[in-house]
Amino acid sequence: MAQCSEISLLLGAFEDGELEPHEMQEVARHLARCDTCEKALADYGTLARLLRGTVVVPALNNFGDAVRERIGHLRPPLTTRMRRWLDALGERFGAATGFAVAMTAAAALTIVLATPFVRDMFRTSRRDVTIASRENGGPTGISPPPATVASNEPGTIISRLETSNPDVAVWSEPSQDTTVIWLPDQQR
Amino acid sequence: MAFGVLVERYQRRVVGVALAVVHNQDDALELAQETFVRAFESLGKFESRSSFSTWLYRIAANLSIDFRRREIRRPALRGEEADSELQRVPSPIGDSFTAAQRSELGERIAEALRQLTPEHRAVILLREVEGLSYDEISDVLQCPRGTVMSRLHYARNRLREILKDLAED
Repeated sequence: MAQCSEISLLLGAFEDGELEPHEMQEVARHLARCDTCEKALADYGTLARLLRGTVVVPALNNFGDAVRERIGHLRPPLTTRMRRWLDALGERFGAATGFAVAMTAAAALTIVLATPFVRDMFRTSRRDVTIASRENGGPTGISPPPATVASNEPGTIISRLETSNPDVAVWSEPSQDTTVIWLPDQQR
Repeated sequence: MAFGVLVERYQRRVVGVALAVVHNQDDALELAQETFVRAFESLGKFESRSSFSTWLYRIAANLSIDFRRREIRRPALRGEEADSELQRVPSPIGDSFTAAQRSELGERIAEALRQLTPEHRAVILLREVEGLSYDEISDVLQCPRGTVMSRLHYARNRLREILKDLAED
């Protein structure tokens, strides 16, 4: 038979019906033979009744109204506000007009957001790339790049100097004040 | 408003949960209102892993526990500051366990409850007064079920000891 010290830990849960079936059985068996634990269990019951009878939740008059008032002052979330705006548009101008206005607004927003990219894209496509090739003119084959060929163009100028070393090339970006000269790593 | 139906249905227990933690009726009512406002704002986040009621009680318990911590951190008032503050304290009518204090028996029980730690008091009130199951208490107070059991065991025995004469009567 289980000891009182073990059973006393389970008495409250027994009273609350929170034990596993085999534990319930064990406690019930013990209680049938143990006056001390039976008394403790009875005291728990009395205590519960006393607590329930004396600890009282305050009156809730107008509680619901107070909550509703507080909720009424809350700012609705963005999605709700958008939906209401669209509904209002629909009511005012008719559903089709409201939809068209909403689509126009969405398109305008897309354009505004996408403009920097589009502008950048156009700038890239407009950039004139001129490849000027030149026949070998001398023993060194190095001469100033034909900047005059594309001097009226603000974009990139690529000048490939075809000399006896066809790998030599000069890249010039006047708008960025940059010139890059490629030379081969090794001469064979 | 559909949410009003939920308020009506759960208000008593939500106030009870708050009261079990903060032990002051005015504060419990205020915290219960805040609970419903927070719940309304977070309805979209409610996941049906636990029941709506348990979710609601957990919000109430969290708000109440935070409130209690803030109250504990508040520095003790002294001298004139304390006198002026005391004048602002609500009348005993709004104090916790008012109904209990109306009778000698109630006063004894209220005093016995005050002798418990807030954790033990919350657990026993949630169980005996609000009728929450061990799993619900565990979920609401966010502590293991075993802790709920041991706290209840301790709280019951302590109250039994303090109110020994009442239990014998």
